[in-house]
Amino acid sequence: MRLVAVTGIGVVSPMGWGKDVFWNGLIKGRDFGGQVTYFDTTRHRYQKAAEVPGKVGANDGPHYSRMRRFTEFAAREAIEDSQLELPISCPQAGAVILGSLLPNVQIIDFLRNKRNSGNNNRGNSSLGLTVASSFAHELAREFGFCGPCMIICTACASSTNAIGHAASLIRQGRCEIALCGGADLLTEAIHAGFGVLHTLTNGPCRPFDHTREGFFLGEGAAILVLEEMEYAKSRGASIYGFIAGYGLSNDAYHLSAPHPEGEGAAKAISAALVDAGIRADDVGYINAHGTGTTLNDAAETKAIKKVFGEHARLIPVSSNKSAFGHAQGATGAFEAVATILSLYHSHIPPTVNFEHPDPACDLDIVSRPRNARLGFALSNSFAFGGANAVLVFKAVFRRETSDDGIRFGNRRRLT
Amino acid sequence: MMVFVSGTGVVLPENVPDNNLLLPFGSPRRPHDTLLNSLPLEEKTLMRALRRVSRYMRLAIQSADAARGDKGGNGESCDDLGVLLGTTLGPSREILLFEESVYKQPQFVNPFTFATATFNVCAGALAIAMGARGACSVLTAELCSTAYAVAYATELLKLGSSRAILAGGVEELSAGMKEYLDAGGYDSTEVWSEGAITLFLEAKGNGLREPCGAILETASVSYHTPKDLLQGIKYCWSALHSRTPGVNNVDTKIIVFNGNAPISPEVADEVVNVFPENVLIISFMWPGDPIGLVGAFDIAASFYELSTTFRHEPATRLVYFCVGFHTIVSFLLCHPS
Repeated sequence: MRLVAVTGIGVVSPMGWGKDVFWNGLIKGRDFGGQVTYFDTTRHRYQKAAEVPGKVGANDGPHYSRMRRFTEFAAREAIEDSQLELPISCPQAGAVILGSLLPNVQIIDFLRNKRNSGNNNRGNSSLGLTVASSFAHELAREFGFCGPCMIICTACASSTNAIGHAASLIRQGRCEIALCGGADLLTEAIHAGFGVLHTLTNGPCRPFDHTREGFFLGEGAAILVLEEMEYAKSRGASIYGFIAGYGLSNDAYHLSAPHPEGEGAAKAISAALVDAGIRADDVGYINAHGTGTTLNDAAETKAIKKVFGEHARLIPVSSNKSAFGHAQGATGAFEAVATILSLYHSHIPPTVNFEHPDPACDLDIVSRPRNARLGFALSNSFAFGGANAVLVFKAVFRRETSDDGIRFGNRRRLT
Repeated sequence: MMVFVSGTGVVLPENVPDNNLLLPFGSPRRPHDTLLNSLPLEEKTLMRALRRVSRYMRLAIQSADAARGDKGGNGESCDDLGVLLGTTLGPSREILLFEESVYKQPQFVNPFTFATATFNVCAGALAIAMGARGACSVLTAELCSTAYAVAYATELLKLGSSRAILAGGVEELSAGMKEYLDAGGYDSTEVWSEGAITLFLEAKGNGLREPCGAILETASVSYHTPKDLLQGIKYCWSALHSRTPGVNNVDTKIIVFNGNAPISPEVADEVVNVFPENVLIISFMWPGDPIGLVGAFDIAASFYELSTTFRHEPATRLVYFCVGFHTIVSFLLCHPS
């Protein structure tokens, strides 16, 4: 079976611009939320969010141009990280699959412009920029990729879905390389929407904590370069790890609330394990969806226990949303990056602000950075409309002897 | 491996039950119980709550209901039934209403308005109405949205991830969305269309009713220049046949092109030269411009063509190209026998 390797990573996050600053921010265990500056929050109940710092500010341009800047930076960093030489020899072998909760962010610009100026001028007349999948096509054009290109929009599971679909395309031989991930912006509309659902908090986000009250929104973009293993080997690529499995399901229960028993989530996790061909006790770490809401964390705990049984309490679990916020459609990509880097570094980032264990969430919640040799790890994403998506990642390591003995988790150039 | 299309449900402009409370399949008064479970339980609020089922959701549910009815059978387990939809505009009316309500009173936005303004709410509502607990996804790929959805569903069925999938899409128009499209440089005299289509895809026929068609293979590319477009079509043509064992490109007698993307006459001449001689090239026309729905519409129409005009030649293969502004999605289709 064709293996899917992760060879490049690029991130724009509330920690800053770049993959390294993202990972260092996660390991520090810091809360990167703060007062919203992009829009006036005096009429909103909640004022906290995690914004991407520097370079792009509230008045630097319309929403679409910010989305483009995020995705372009992340994609460039990922391509440079992978050391992929462009243009690729067969353009149709390169796919671009992204995820976003609000793919047609241009319409927000249109409505704001119309309201402010009283006319219908969108500021550009390009047909291509009207459609929701524009920023994926622009990325494909920039890097000369002519393979499958689309945006998946399953709310908070969008980019997990996108990464899984890209991996499936490679496994099935539909393409050899894929730029995949997700991007989303902090917008007043989405902030208000989550606010009226009472899922936000002005205080710290505390996933799985007994005193949890909700989350704050984040934004940014995270892009991974996926390559078929033999293709990566042929050019001597360095790899972070593999995408071993992918599972999807739907709760078929409620449009905005998860199934209270975690039925659909358990189904997606099981499907991912089956797809990866691994047993439940092979999993060494779970990067949880962990929004810090009462319903989600309890349901996710039940789902994990359903699948892993007694072994569930032995698996380290952490949620990164308390660090960088809920980046909406991009959150799955952020968490995928966090998971693959956890495997690569053999180091699990903590769940920030976790202090009071909840009996309803009696899992091994990682509250401090932890070293761990990891073979396989899961990344969960559960979304509006009952959409569930789970990825299984596999570590790459080669035993090598040195004066210090055997080392694991080193990125190796394949020959 | 073939993927069978066992049922088709289409909602076109003339049969959208506007201003009626469209209930999912079942009795004329009460909705499916699983949808009911997601709504407030008090009877007095039921009808008000049902109005929360937006038009975008209703279109998806009605077309899926029709596809399931077309397929026949009832009472089957839906644990493995997936939902894969494509849309270009998304819930246009709800997005505009939601944004306006945020602008006026962000603290008092109706929570239902937010939930119904997300692109994947149509799939979520459909899953609740049908009790479908399999793979679920919504994607957007400009004019090829539903074509990609059907292609993605085909791949999932071939992988064995699902037993059956409802694949298709929804497009919903609104006054504000038309204004947005006109401002984007589209011809303001363009007649936009809306509706929904669902194809019931299965990995193997269940014998209840003869499938209306089979999908042998799919291939998709994107393009950025006219030269890329030509290369893309050549690539798809070659990939469809090389990936299907035992099928030669001379077995393909019909080529269907959608008529939405602007292709210059020079490029069109070169495209025609890609194909063997004596192949029939046709294009279907729909009422108005159905935007992202055109892909699934054309697939359904292609099967109709195979089962009627070419019913005496069951070995006939058909290749369908859905050509969007930047994307090409292609299918190798045949009669299910």
